[in-house]
Amino acid sequence: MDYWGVIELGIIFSLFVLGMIISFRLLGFADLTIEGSFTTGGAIFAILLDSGFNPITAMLLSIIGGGLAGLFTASLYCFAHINKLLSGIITLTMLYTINLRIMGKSNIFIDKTTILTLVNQPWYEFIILLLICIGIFVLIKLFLSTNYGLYLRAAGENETFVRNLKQSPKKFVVTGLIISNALIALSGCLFTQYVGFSDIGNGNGMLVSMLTAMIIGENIIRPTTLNRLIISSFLGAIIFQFIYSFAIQIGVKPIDLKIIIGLLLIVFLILTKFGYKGKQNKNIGANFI
Amino acid sequence: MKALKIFLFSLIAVFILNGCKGKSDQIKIGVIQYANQPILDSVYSGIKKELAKYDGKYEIEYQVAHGDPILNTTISKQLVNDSVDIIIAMGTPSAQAVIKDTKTIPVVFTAITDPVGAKLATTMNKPEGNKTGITNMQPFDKQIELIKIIKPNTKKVGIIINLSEANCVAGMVYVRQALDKFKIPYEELNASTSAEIITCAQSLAKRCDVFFVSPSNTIYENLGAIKKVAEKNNILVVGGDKSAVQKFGAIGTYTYDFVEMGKNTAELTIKILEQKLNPGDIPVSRPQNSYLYLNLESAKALGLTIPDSLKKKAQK
Repeated sequence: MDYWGVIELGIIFSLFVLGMIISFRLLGFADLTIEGSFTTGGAIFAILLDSGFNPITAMLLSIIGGGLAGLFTASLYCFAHINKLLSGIITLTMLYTINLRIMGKSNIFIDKTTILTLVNQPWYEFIILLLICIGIFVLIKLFLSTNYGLYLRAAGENETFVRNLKQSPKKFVVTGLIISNALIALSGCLFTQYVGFSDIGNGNGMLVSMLTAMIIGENIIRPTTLNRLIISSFLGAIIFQFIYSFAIQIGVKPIDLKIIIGLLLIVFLILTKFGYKGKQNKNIGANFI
Repeated sequence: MKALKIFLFSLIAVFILNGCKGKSDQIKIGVIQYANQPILDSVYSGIKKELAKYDGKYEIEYQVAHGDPILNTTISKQLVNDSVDIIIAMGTPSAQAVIKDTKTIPVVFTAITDPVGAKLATTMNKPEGNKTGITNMQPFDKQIELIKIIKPNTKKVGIIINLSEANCVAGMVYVRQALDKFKIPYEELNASTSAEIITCAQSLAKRCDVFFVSPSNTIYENLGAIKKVAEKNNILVVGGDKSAVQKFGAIGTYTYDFVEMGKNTAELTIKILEQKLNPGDIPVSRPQNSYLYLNLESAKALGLTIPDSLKKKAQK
């Protein structure tokens, strides 16, 4: 097995899982936009790079693109008063067309220099991914530790509490979804660079896979503090990727893989339930899954 | 919780042990297929048949990604890491993933409609690098010519396309050229799901008297629905693969035999292995023969006569 490859993919997906934790756990918002914004991140990056942009600018713009998708979902929920699940579905559906429009075709191959190939050394790819990942983790940690971040964390768990503090919970839903989708777009953008092409199907099935990764992470490290929460997203993604590669390695037919992911999710969800038996749940965030 | 942690650590230990495996002296051919589609499945059956002739000299490691992006890259990396001797890639995303992951292991891509557009090859004559392959860009001009021969007074050709498939977008460029060449008016509608295809077919049926089957996998999967609409409105269906004519009532098409394409792929693979050729210097090839298939029953149902000259050329 290609251990470095597995860890590198795990790092890329840990950003996805962290984004997912912000919407699913901190805000209690089951946001389906993420499957679309993952593709959007890659699409914007690929087309900008192809038309001669600098890879760093392209990456920043793709993050902004993902943030806009989050803003749209949040606006549907907060201002048009559309149900949470539905707002996500609507944006996800619309993003399909938007992603195709952005790329102009369904598949773009990347042959220019990307962030991951700036230095032509075998260790470079791993180091830069790790650095980006740690950088983002630190930023998110700092943000969530501010007063504003504290309100955001409270908004998902106890809306009334936030209202009593004379703050509008909607404001935090908007900010949270923007950050969450921006993170996922970044993950999509890195994934595109890592696999070397952007395809309209790149987000397929990502939601369930990453949900599994998130639950695995939470089982290994109970997210009782902010630091543990962030580390759990990192470990969850890497262990998920290990299980995935291992299943193929030992000869599980790819056709059976989806049912294995489903079963894995069930097992870990049951483990979660048992883990709390007779104890007080001290985890951060809403506990609706 | 402790039990869980022990379970995970033992899992990781198994991963590491799994890495230490012996090597056999068979020549290993890795095959990665993006999804289970009729065409790709036929190509693979051709590859398997041809390689089986060598009595276990070649060992095939065959993996299908089922259209899953994570699986696609994981399989690709696994093949490269297993250091197979050569990789055969079917489907554009799979081929792209493989050529990103290895610059040394030879790669043969097959059944790719537009290798240059997908940047798998620099030019058709000289792909450069460690890759070459076979394109399945269909003989669209011949397919369009069929419309002209069978129904010279065509009012309008209706085409359902799927813009989300690279194959379809690339192929349509040639379809449009051929239609313009024969001065046949046409209308295109875009559909990406089964439900949309039926709606588009019903809408086109009002304005068109011929349907052309575009080179999209989604359309191929929904030929049954298109057949229903066509029969109801007395519309001629032209184009597509062999099954479109034999199973789904299309009146005729020129197409490749995909099992034969698989055989060609295997031959090319063996040629590269045996003669230690540099794949980058071998031009991207097309299957040599295209075959004409006709469905005389559909022609009769529509009251059309097919010229004898055409009948003679057709496959049984």
